[in-house]
Amino acid sequence: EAVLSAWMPSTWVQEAIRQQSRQHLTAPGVLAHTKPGDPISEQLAALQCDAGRRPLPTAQSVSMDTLGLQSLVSDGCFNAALELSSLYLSSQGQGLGQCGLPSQHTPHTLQMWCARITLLVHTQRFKDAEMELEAFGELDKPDLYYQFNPQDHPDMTGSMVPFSLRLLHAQLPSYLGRHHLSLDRLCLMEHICDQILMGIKMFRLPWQQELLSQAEQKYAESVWTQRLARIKFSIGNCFVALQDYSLAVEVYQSLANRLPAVKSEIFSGIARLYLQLGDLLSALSFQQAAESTAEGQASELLCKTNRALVNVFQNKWGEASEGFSAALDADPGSLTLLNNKAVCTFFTGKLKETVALLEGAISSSPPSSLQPSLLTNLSTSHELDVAGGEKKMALLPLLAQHVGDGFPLACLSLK
Amino acid sequence: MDSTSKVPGTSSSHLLGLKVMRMRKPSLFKSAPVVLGEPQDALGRSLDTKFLEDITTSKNIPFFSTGEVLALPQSFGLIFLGETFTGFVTVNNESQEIVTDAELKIELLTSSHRVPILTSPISQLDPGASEDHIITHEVKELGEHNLICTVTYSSSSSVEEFFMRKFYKFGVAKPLDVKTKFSTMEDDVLLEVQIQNTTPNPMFLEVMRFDPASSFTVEEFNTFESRNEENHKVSVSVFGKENYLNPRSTRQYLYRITPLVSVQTAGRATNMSVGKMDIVWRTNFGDRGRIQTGQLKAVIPPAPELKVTVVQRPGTVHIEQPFNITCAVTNMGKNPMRLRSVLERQVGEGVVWSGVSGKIHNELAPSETMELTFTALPLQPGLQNLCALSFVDMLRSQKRHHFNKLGQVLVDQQPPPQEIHFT
Repeated sequence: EAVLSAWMPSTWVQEAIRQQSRQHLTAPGVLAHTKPGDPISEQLAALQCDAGRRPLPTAQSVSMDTLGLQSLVSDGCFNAALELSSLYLSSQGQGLGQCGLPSQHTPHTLQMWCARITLLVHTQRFKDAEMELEAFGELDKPDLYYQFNPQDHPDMTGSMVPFSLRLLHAQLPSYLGRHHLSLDRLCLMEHICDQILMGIKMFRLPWQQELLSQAEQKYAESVWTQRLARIKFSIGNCFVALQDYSLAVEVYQSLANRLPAVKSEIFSGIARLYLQLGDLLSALSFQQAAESTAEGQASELLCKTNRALVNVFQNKWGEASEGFSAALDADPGSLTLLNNKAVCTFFTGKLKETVALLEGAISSSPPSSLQPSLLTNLSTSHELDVAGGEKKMALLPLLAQHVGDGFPLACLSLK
Repeated sequence: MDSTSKVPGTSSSHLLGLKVMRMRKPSLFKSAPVVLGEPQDALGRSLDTKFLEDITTSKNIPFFSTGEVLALPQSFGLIFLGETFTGFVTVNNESQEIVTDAELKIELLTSSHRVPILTSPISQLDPGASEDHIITHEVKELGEHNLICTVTYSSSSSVEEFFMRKFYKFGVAKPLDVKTKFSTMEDDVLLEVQIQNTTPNPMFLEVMRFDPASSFTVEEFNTFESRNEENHKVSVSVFGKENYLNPRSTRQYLYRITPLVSVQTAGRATNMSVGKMDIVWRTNFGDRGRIQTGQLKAVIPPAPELKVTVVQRPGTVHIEQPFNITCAVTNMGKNPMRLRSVLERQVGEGVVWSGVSGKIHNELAPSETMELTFTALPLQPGLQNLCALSFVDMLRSQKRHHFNKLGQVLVDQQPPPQEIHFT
């Protein structure tokens, strides 16, 4: 437990904790109005369509705790889940209209905040997430540490802020276009992570007096190296967003060395980045590196998809399409390969075939085949069809049958 | 795409529908914002499972933001000079009648040209059927372009000929800002080319080459020889490993252009076309663009009449020890010369001549070379310039040719080791 909550506060925070200063308190509150509606039901009503909507759970129909929350999310009902989080936080004095009012922080409230912010980010409501995180500052205020209230949490040390929330807080500015702020926050996290790992190597955790046992140390090391890897990936992603490909590749390469189990996948990813940049030679060398690291069947499949992507680069659409078909023989039913084959088919001028492939992929295995990316591509190809609008609306009944209230209906671009 | 449908005549509903879409290269879907939590978090594995089910999330490395799923181009985007416009054109029979004797004609209108792109007859189009074409055109002009698509057709039910025309406007912007600067160095011309990426995306520079005109040769100073990991000789760019140019970034390339001797005019500088730049770049998923500058004009220095090159001299000499320099003196002019060598003396120089100045040499015929040896004495240590030489042409009313860039020597402070003789 102490392993998970280990964190190193900045000096002024340490002082404030020692002095039990009540000056800088965190007073968060729900700000975003997340109306518990269902966009698909609304769309069906607007179009006066009869299609039946599958029954959807609501915030009221489940228990107001993490189990209820998880069941809503597993069902794809993110709106309902957000509503649940809002109700829960209200009951703890941090709900709508309660921002700025003093309240008690517990690991449970902070976990609920983490869940709420995660859902807001997942549904692309970045501004709302930023707004609600503002009250938390840099997630480094004295009352967010166990040590601030020793009577409530005896013998517990470290930060109550879940690590996932910290990472989200660091990544959020990047989703709003402020990549440099994200980099600042991520680099600070990386630094603290490094320090904690150094301590763990010597069997120590911050704030803890006792040394860790062998088993505890192994566990701590695995948790914190994973966390460090997640931070580094985020830093690499920031560099890609900033179009600084050389720095991004450096970061990803160092990760490939640290995580040999996924070295092949990382090299493939870097190759894709180079293809996107326009640098064929570098892409080819990383593709080769990926293929030589992969083993057996995985390597064969990788070879085929790599060849196909290179054909896309060289405008050889026919060969690319065949390449993805060949890869499908090894991995039938792969929606990614079906999609990519459809995209290549489009570029050979066969519009009808493209649409058929995409529609086939989408209806192959609902609900898991109801992928927003496939629907976006289908929607784009329907732009060339006069009857495209109607064909898109014809997909609504299928969606209505399977997806939850959090499905991004915007991918269909219905007018 | 911007489209205004111009329908002349009274009929406002056509039997055919025409749609055009630009086929930009596909891109890769970015994965959704990475929201993976840890098992002890409130959301547990619930959202993680949903996130991992999305095909745009990279398999096995979900934190890597660039996915494996190709995306069809969702908007027209930007197009730049030198790139190729590719478009998908579809003519669809939206009516219940059979359409006959149709013809699809596509032209591109710019401010100065009308370029035919496609003329395709369609003999028959059944209800619901469509005719698809892919058109390509390499964009060679800046500014507004207008794609004019015209369809003429008749139907099975009436003899009347229908005429449908649609316009698609798009603008072509400048991809690179190319600035050139010439300077002369001895008999050659140095060309400095500065390029700036004026697009909002990084560009991978595939080819950056100067093509000289027929009477010139070029030497580029933008790569150097190095050895790679397998100890093979490789050519490495001076810009380092990464060969891409970010938006608004600039690079300077340097070339040395040498004119063939026949081209230079004696005594007079001339303005000539020396060659052109050929630039090829790639952007998203291999989208290729190419521009060539027009013929660049530079001022070629006049041909020298007398050429002096140092053919032999020591690199390091010892202080106060005389050394020899051998020069090759070539008559580049058309008349014979009788030269008198004058050993110049410059105040403050660390190396002085030692010998007799004013010697008159044998007559030198045109294109003939003679070798002359002079003796010099270093007086100061360190890297020193050799002093100047002058040649006076006795046959051409004392015309003086001055040479002051003969080279440098390193003067060692230590006297040379003395030879010890044992008697």
